[in-house]
Formats: sequence, structure tokens, C-alpha cells
Amino acid sequence: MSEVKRSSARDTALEVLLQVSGANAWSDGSLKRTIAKNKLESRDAALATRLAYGVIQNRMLLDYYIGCWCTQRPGHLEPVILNILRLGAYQILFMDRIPSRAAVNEAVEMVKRHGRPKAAGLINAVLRKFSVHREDMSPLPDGSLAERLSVRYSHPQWLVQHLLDQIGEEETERFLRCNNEIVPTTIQTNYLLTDPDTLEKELHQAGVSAEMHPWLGGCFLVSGTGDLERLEPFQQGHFMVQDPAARLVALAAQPVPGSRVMDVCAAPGGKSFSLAIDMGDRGQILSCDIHPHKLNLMERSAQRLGISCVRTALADGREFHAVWQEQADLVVADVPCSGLGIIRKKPDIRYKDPGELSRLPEIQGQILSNAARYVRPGGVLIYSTCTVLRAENEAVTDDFLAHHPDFERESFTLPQPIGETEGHITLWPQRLDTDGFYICRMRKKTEEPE
Amino acid sequence: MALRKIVLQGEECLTKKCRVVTDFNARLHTLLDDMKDTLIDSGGVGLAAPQVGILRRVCVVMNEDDEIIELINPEIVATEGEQTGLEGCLSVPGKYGIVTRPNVVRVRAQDRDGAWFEVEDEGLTARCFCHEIEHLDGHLFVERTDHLLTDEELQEYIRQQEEEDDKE
Repeated sequence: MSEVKRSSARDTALEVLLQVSGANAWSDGSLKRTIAKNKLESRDAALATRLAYGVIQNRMLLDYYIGCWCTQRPGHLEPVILNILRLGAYQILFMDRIPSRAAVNEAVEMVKRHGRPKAAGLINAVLRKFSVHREDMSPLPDGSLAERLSVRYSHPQWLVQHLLDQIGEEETERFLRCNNEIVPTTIQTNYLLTDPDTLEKELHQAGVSAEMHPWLGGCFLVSGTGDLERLEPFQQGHFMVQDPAARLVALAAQPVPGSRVMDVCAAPGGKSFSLAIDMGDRGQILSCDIHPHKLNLMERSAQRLGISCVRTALADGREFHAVWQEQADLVVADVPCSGLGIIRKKPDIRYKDPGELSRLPEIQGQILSNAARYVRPGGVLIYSTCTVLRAENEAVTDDFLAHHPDFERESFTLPQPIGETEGHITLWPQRLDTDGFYICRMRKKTEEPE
Repeated sequence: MALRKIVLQGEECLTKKCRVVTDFNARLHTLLDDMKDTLIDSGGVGLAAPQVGILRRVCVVMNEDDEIIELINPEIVATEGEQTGLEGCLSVPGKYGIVTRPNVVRVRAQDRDGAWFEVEDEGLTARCFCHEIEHLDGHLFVERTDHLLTDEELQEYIRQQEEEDDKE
């Protein structure tokens, strides 16, 4: 007997893994596109997402075990075969719901469907080892602490070493573990159109389980939503999706209603909108970005949220525009960065080439210095990133302040349990369950120093 | 591991009544192993011996845990309830029809060494037991359905099923 085959969750996950490892696509975008293309229903879409993210989050660990039982080095296997092995191994080790036997059979079928029937024996042999030894897996490699943590939590060794130097062994391990966990989505109430109580009711009516954020007012943790953007309250602009850390940038900036604000690297616009909401939509926010198509997206989002004080402009954050000189009460420079603070949401960010990252501090410094020229005397300058590396954070602002004596850090207060800061703060996922972020608040002195 | 060729509707062997297996020997074991490989390779959920040209009462069925059950000289000894749904056949590729079957089916059969056992299952696997055992008497599912669905009807049917699944 035969069944009607719908395109399977596993095939979709494989397609995503091949795109991510081959063509430098990012996992979240690739998943969204591939799920839509294969017309997966919601349950299969959830499984495809779990499989693709699970493999990416545990890639180095899975490859280590595959290497123990495979005569060929994992790196020498064809990408299709290697990724089918990883998918099968992930299901056997991490998904209790799926019987090992089913995982092995599916993988064997998959490799045939993808035109590699000769590899069926290899897949079968290696995955059977996983299924027999799942309770007594080979010990992790000996070697340095960084090496062991690197394999255990599948983070590159250079990153683990950086973290060990910066925050020590215990916190590093918590950070790494936290990056492989599933996080709820945080949304922020749009006070311009509604209030948290009403929004909570609307979400419940839409079948979404929403829980008040434990310490961030007006925000909710939501789960089991499927595609959030299809919900009625989203379409009506009653909320926006934003991590607590990004929300804290607006709280650190404390914009006064009616003020003139510049957001020099604004897309996709979350921080501009968060500021606009805090300003009661009074004043002017100029949201700049270097990509024209992102300006359109921002304008549409602003419209959805009922925000009229945001205007967009096409501008490279490093290039000076004389018309804006010393015009702004507040400038926000949320600069491009390595993104190593948001690994829990974009698991493949960890595998970025560290060589490419080394150029970032220079660009970040250029953008910050340029943004500083738009701040009026007595105005505020905010520098933020979604990374936790010192080189992109404190080192950039220290260097900026050393060359700009007319600016100084200014302490600011965030909601408890954070409280008062000394003018800058690094937020860590393992500490407060936020994205990893850096926020620095600086003020331009009213008089030139003598 | 050897794959056997699956014969298609129109071949005479699919309309014949199959003979009882009396010798539980190496030839039977090879047939069973080949049928399992052929089933996995085809992506189906059940396969009967006449579908690979052998007129003996032998079939293999994959259950929802993806375990393959070998059935020799099988008989349905009890049924319960009713299910109506889409059914297809490896010997009638690409064609599907709506067939009503019992929802729970209990089968008595011999294993590859001749020992009798009973197995009971529901849903898709119950449907599959009925479908394969009918092959052994020369019947195809197409005899049990009013008409085979066109591509459009099939797409529509799957869409409706998905909507019902979503409601659950």
C-alpha cells in the first residue's frame, strides 16, 4: 500500500541546512522561504524548524560523534550525505519523541531520494551506532577547557577562549548552554494605539498564550504563536516584536516628547519605533539606513504602528551630512556588529568567519564618530550593539571618548533587577534572559573644554 | 540486499489467488528480506508477494513506529469500527481513491520460522493489513472505490484534511 506523500519536514530541514552551509544564507530567512515554498502545514513547519536549528546548534558535537564512527572525516563527506547524517543523529540523541529506528529508516530513504543510493549503507551503519550507544556516547575529546566546551556546546574555539578570558569558566558555560535553548518571543505594547491589558485580552482571543514580562513593563512573552505577523492585533499595529535588550536601548536614551532624534543605522526600525512610542509620537525621528529596500519596509511598519513622527533617509552611517550637524537632541548609533549576542535566535551566527569580524571595530568607530557630529551641545549619544565582545563594545567607546573630550559617559537607570549603571552596560542572555547587548550613554558637554 | 521489481496493475499475477506457504526455508527468508528492502526503497507502507510476482501468501506491513511486520499465511480474525480515507497502491502508482475499512484489525499469521502469532493495530496500519491481505486473494483497492481521484480532487481532499487537522 502507498500513502500520499506531503513534502516532509525532514526534507525541508535538509534544504535549509544545505543552503546555510553552502551559499552563506542565514538560517531564519532560509527557513521562512523554504517552509513557504514547500507549503508545510504548521506542525511540519515546527518540526522542520526544530530540526534545522537543532542541527545548527549542535553541529560540532554531532560531527565529533560522526567522526568517531565513520572511517571518513566528516569534512570529507559530501554535504548532502553529511547533513542527512547530522539530521538523523540529532533526532536520535535529542528528540525522545522520535524512535531511533524511524530516524535511521528516514535517513536511509532520504539519501536514496537525493540520488545517493550508494551511501545508504554508510548512513545505516553510522546511525545504528548512534542508536545503540545513545545512552553511553564516547567521551568528549581531552584537551584544553576551551576545546572541550567548544565541542560540547558547538561554539568555535576562538569564541569560547574570548569568553573564558572575559567572564570566566562558570559564566562561559552558562552562556554557551543558554545559546542552545529555545527562547520565547518578547513583544512590546504599542501605547500609541492600545494598553497592555487590552492587548493581553486580544492575544488570548487570538489563541496565543501571553505572559507578562517579569520585569519589563508593557512587554509580554509569547509562545505557540506560529506566524506572529498573521495575528489580528499585529496587523492592527497593537504590538511589535522586540527583545528586552533592544527595548532597554530606548529606556537608556529616555527621549523627551517633542525632541529631535536621529537613528543612524535604523533598519528594521525597532529602536526608532520604541523611541517614537516613548515620545508619544511627538517630535521628529530621522531613521537612516544604507539599504533603500529597508527604508520601504520601515515606512510600512511605522504606518502599521500608527507612528507619524518617523521619517526615513538613505545614508551611510560613516558619511557626514553637513545639514544635520549639531541638530539632534538625541542620536542613536546601533551599529552593525558580529551579532554574537543573539546566537540563541540566529544559531548559525556563531560560525561566522572571525577574520571578517576583525574589521568591525574600525567601522563601528567611524560610525560613532560621525554620529557624534550630529549631536547638539548638551545632547545625548547612544552607542549600542547586539554582541558581547569587548573589542566591539567598551574598546570602541573608550577609544571614541579618548579622542572626543567633549563627550562623557552618563549614568542611566534601567528597570530592576538592573538598576543604576555607570554609563554603559553589557547585557548577557545567561544573566537576565535578554539578548546579549551593549548599551553606552554619552552626553556632549555644553561648553568646549578649555 | 536486493530490490525486486514491483509489477503494475494489468499483470495477471495481481488477480490470482495465492497459495499457502508450507516450507519455512531459506528461500522464504530471502523473499522476505528482499520484500522489506523493496518496501523501504519504494517509500510505501505495505507490500504483498504477488506484487513482486510471487504467488504465495506472504506480505510485509510497516507500522506507525516504522517497524516492518512480516506476515505469512495471514488471516483477519477480528475487526472493529470504521474509517474512510485515501488509499493508494504501489502497483497502481499515482492513483488514489477513497476506501472505507475497519478502524481496528486483528491479524493471525505465522512468522518466518512458522510460529503462529497475533497482531492488532488501528488507523493506517489496520487499513494496510486489509489492503495487503486482499492482494493475496487477487484483489486491488480500486475494486473497493467508486472512482479514482483526479489530481484536482486529490489536492482538494488533502487541503480539507489539513484544515481538519488544524482544527484539532
